[in-house]
Parts: sequence; C-alpha cells; structure tokens
Amino acid sequence: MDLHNKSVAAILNNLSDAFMIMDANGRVNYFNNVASKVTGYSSLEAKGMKCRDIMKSESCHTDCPFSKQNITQKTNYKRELVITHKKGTKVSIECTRNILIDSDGLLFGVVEIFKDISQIKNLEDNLKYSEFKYERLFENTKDMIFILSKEGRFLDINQAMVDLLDYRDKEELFLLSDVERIFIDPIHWHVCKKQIDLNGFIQDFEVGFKKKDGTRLHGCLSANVFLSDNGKIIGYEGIAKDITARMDSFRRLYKHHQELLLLNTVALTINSSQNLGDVLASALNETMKLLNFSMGAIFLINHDKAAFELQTQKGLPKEINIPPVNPLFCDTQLMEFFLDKDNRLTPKSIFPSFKIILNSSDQGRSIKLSCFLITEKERPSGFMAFPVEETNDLALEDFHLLGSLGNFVGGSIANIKLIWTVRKHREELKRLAAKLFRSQEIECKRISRELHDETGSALIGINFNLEAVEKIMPSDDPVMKNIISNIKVQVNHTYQEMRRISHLLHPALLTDLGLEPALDSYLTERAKQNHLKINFKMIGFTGRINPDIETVLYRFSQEALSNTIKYAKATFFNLSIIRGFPSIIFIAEDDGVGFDPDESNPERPSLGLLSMKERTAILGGKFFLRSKNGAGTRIRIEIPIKNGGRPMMMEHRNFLQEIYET
Amino acid sequence: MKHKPIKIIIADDHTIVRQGLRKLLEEEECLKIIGEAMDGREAVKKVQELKPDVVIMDIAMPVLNGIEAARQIKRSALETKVVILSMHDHNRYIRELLSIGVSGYLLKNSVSSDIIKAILSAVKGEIYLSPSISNQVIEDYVGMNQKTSQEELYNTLTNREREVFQMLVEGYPTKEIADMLCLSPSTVKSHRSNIMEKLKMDNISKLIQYAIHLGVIDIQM
Repeated sequence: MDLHNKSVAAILNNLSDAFMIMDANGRVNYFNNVASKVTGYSSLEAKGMKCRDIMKSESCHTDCPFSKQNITQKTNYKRELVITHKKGTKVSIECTRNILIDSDGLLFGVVEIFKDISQIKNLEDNLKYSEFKYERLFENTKDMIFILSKEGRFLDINQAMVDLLDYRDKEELFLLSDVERIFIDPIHWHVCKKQIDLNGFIQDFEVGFKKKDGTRLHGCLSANVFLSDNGKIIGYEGIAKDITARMDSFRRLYKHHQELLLLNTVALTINSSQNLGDVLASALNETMKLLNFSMGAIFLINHDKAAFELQTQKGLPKEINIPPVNPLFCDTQLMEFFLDKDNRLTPKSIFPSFKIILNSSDQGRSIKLSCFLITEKERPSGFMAFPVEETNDLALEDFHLLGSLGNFVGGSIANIKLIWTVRKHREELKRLAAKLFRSQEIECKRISRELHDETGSALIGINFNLEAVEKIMPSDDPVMKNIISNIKVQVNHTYQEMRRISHLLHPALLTDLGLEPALDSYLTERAKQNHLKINFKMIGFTGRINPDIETVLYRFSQEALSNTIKYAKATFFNLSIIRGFPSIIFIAEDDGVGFDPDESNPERPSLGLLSMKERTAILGGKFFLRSKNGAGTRIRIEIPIKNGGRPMMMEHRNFLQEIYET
Repeated sequence: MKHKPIKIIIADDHTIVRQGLRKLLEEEECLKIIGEAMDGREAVKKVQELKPDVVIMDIAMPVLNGIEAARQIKRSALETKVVILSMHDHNRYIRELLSIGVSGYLLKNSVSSDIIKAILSAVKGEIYLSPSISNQVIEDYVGMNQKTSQEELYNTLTNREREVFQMLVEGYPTKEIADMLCLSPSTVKSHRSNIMEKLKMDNISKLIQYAIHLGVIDIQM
C-alpha cells in the first residue's frame, strides 16, 4: 500500500498540471509540486490548509463545494478563475473540479486539477486588444476600405466607405452585386483591375466614385490582390482616399491661374495698343472664353450725352446688334445713378450685378443680360453684360473675377484716356511749335527783307545823292567836302551793319538761290570771323528742295556752328548735307572739347539743341547727338522726304516709344 | 566831235535809289536817262519800247526779279546791255547773271566813278565788275574746276537708287530690301548693278567706304 501510495504520489508529482486533493472537510490532503509552483505554497504548508485560504479566489464565495448552499448537481466541471498567489499576485488558472461522492451520495473529497493560464490569457487579451485596434482602425479611418471576392463582390467594407458614398449602412452596399457599381464609370474599375491583375497592386490611381445619389466623388485608390497558397487570385482589397477637396483646391488654383491669364492678356493688350476698342474687345473675348459665355457686350457710360454706348460685343443676335443698341435697365433708379456724373462709389471688389434688357428695333426679340460694373476712379464708367441664364450658376469666385475685372478694365480705361490726353496735348504742342517756328521764320524773313530792301535802298539813295552833291559843289570848300565824306563813311557803315543784321535774320540768298549758296556765304563769313577751318559739302542735290526744309537745314547749320564757336574751342568744323532717299542726312561735327549730353550744364543751356530736336520731330525725322568730354561733338539728323523734298506726313508712332525716347 | 549821249534806263523799285542815281548820272554829259522802271516787268517793257543802250538794274524787285528780267532782255534780239546794281555780293548771283550775259555787276555801295566806268565798258562790249567782287569771281571759277568728281557721281542716282543704295550699305540683304520696298528681288539686283556702275564701284565694301565718306551711313552711331 505504501509502495502503491508512493508510486501514486510520484506520478501525481510529475504531472504537468497542478493537482490537489481535499478531504471531506475541505482541507488539503495532497498538493503536488506544480500546484506549489502555481500557488506559491509548498506541499507541507498546503497540507491541512483550507482550499479557499490557498486560492483566495472570488469564486470561493460563490462556488465552494463545501458550502451547503452551494451544492451543485455537477460533480465534474471545468472553469476559469483567478486566484491569488502567495506573493499576492493574481494568477489565472483553468481548473477542473472532481467532486468525490460515496455510494450514499455524501461528499468525501474534492480533486482539483488546474494549470496556470496567465500567459495564454495574456496572449488572448493582447490578441483581443489588437483585433479591437484593427477593427477600430478599419472602422474609424476616414479612408474607405473594402475587401472583394475574386468576382468583385463585397466581402467586407468599412463605415468610412458607407459614409463617403452616402449609403444608409453596410448592408445596402453589400447588396450591390459588383464593385464596379461604386464607380462613376465601370471602366475605372476595369482599368484598375487589369493593372492589379498584372502587377499585383495599384497605387494612387485617381478614380471617380459614384455616390448613392449618382454624384461624383474624386478618389485616389490603392489596391492589391489576395493570393491563395498556390498563387491563385482569390480576392482583392482596396483602400481609397477622398481627394475631392484636393481636386477642388486644384481646380480653384487652375481657375486663379486662368484669371491671371485673363488679366495678363488684357494688360498685354493695353501695353501693345492704346486703342480702347482693342482693350475692351480683348477683355470681353477672354472673359467669355474663361466663363463659357455664348455672348457678351461691353457698354461705356457717356456722361456728356447721358447715354450708354455699346463699345464691343460678341455673339449678340443680329437683329439686336443694330446701332444704336440701347440697354433698358430693369432698375431705372440704378440707371439714373450711373448717368449722374457726380456720383461716387466707394471702391469694392464686387458691385452687385444688375440686369438689362436689349430689344431688337421691331421689339420682336429681346434678351436679358446680367451686368457687371466697370469702375474708373470710383465712378461707374461702364459694364460688361452676359446672358442671365449663363450667369445664374456662376460660382462666387467667378463673381469676384468679374468684379476685379471690372476694376481692372476701369483702370485701363482711365489710363488710356490719360494717354490719349497726353498724346493729344503733345500733338497740339508739336503743332503749336511748328506754327511758332514757321511764323518766326516768316517774321524774320519779313524784317530781313524790309531792312535789306527798304532801309538798304534808302541808304544807297542817300549815298548816291551825296555823291551828286559832291559833284555839283565847288571843290574849293574843304570843310564841306570833309563833312560830306564823313557822312558817306557813316552811311556806308550803317549799310554794312544793316546787311549783316538782315542776313542773320534771314538771308535773301536762301530764298533767291537756295541752301548751298546761302550756307556757303554764311560759313565763309563765320570762318573768317572766328579763325575756324570749315569744311562744307552738299551732296546729291540737283535742284532746289522744299523751302521749309531749306530753312530748317539752314537753321540747323547756324545752330550747330554757333554752339561750336561758343563752347567747343574747336579748330575744325565739318558740315555735310546729303540728299539721300528717303531721307536728307545732315551731319555737323567739330573737334572741340565736347560735353556730356546726359548732364545739363547751366553754363551751356541746351535750348539750341532742344529747338533742333523739336524741329526734327515736327518733320518726323530722327535726331542723334554724340559727344564726350574732350572728344568733339557730332550731330546727325535725318529728315524724311518724299519726291521733291516735301516733308512726309507725321506718322503715328507708338506713343510709349515716344515717351521712352524723350 | 561830240558823241551821241548814251541812253540809259534805271530799273529799281526804290524811288530814292532811282532819284539818287539819276542825279548822279545826269551830271555826266555823255549819259542820258531816258526812262525809269519800278519792277522787272516794267523794265523789260520799257527796254523794248525805248531801246536804250544800257539798262541799270537791281536784282531784288517785285513782280519779276532782276535775274529773270535780265534773262528776258538778253534773250530778245536787242542790243541793250544790262548792268546789274545789287546789294548781293554772293558769287552764285554773279555766276548766274554772267552766264545770262550781263555786261556789268556792281555793288550798290559802289562809288559813282565805278558806275560810269561800268556803263562805258558795257557800251564798248566789255564786262565790268566791282573791284571787290572780281577776286571772288576768279576764286569761284578756280574752285569750280577743283570740285571732286567722286562726290558728284552720287547726283546721278535716282531716288529709288539712293534708297536701295542706303539699304545696301546699311547691310540689308537683297531679299529684305525687296520685301521692304515691295519690289522683286531681280529689280533690286538690277538697281544694285546700276548703282555700282554709276558710282564706278566694283564691290560692296568699296560701296560702304564711299557711303561712309559721304556720310550716308554712320559707323559710330
């Protein structure tokens, strides 16, 4: 028996499970090694202890076979419970209880076989936790996730997908027979599937999903295949982002880009043309292109006539576009407000749009247009008009665009008006200067003639008379003879002086014989007076040219030579006038001290040069001046001529170019 | 033997000059003032009517100036000599009038003796010039023959040729010149060879040198 007991004990001690036997009183009778390990109590300690004192489990209160109330019918059952280790730590165990009952039905002992399942429990908990985590990720992510069968049926989908596609619940989505039905066009899925089948995956494919109500959702899809162990496709899983917002901002960016392009195009037109019609036509054209309008018109307000004038239009029906096109305002008060010259608007990015009606002259047809105000210096100056039905579904930013375009075009109108005013004034100034030069020449010529002919002749007459007196008078009166001789000297001196002045004012030679003799005479005289070597040549002239041009060239020569004499300290002056075609070329140069043309010198007022430039401009010519300190001065002027040497009509040159040149 | 007095007409638009001159000349026995004219046309008319030996004429006169009047008188078959009495001393006037065939050219501030000398010379068929201008006439004559002929060759170019010349020397190729002047390239080519021939040039670089010499193009600007 002892051997038998001993061998049983050895077996029990070597069991992998913990093992304990309690007697009828609930005291431990046997406690194996594994049980010691699990509970922390040694066999010796445990023997005689009550089970509940060792286990210290919650269930000891509710499920104790030794408690009378808790007698159950079951004699053998398994349960999980948490016990308290001797050290105080909690230990999860799986415990199989065998209640030993004798033939009389009385309890005579309990056998508990248990094992430490803490580790398994931990693993289980972790597993549960991570499952929960993934579940939460799956369900709570903002991206839609779906798992498909090979045939394209939904196996699993997440809540985000339901929400993004606006379905009621997952079940509703599961009812869709094929995944292609969540695409705006099934071809999207077919393309994706082909790629997945080919490469095993796709990444960031832009696709259009179809919401339940049929509207579009911009998505970015990544997906891959599920393969079976033998490498066969058994399904697909996909994850997609909603990129509608991104697409929207992209579209907005694109729109801004388009707007800038529009403004830039209009600005370019303004730069290359100061023609109001061109600028407005370009603004209208670009706006219509950008916003897809089928027709449009720009009206400007003519405050002087208290009327609206159609400046440019595109696509207006023929029967309506018959001048005068009179816009009827739906709001007459607004119309009066616009026509009132003194009204000011506070600058705003958008003035609310308003409506006008255009009627055909026989009233047979009418169109209603939405109008967007053009403002110029806080005043309404016109409006752009587009069909009402086409402006109804404009986005807010389109309204903003039309508003800023209105301000922009208004600014351009103001600029163009300003440019035209400046240009008009310049033309007027040019005309006035031309008139001034001309009347100056006429006056000089008149005075010169008067001096030369009238005064000169009078002096000559006096001289002849004096000579006659001398002859008649007896020669033996030396006093009288002396007086007459003195008078003759004085008369002659006055005569010479008068001739000099007359010549300076306007040489008769110039009118009578032309430029070459006039200049020749003038230059010879000046050369003598100033000890200057002068070289003069006229090339290519076979007859007289236009007297006005002759006079101008004569004045240029005078002016250039005077400058040289006054300032240049030159020893040599060269003057060449070449009758080229289509221009006469005038060149005057000296070897003097020169000057810096960019520097205005108070001692050397450039009025002479200025008048040369001005006269050149009047004749539509070109003026070049080159001078450097210490390196002489050279003036070159080209005057355009037509046949016979008449000046060409002044051409309308680019205004900006003119400004840059001056 | 007493000569027939020389018949004279004075043509000047200024009464004071005519009066003074008349007084001066009437002092000479051999001279007779037979008429006066106040402008060129009257001068021509009176010369034809009165057939004077000499007409003393101003250049600056209204209606018809002295140059034209002298031309008309010399063109007619009359023997009348023309003596110019002018304020103008430029050789162009002198050259022009001498070529018409006047017999004297006097400046208005001449002394009476010069005027009388001129009249007497004219009658003899000689030419008399005021001493102060005779030098000038000689200088002009000498200078005229010295003028370089190279530059004058340019005169022979037509407007179109000058235009093509300008563009050629500015460096435009034939095709562009043709486009700009709306001509065919072959027309431009023929202009070009005409220009070369007229200017006696055989290549474009000489042509450019010539253009720079004339000043038609400006290499430094």
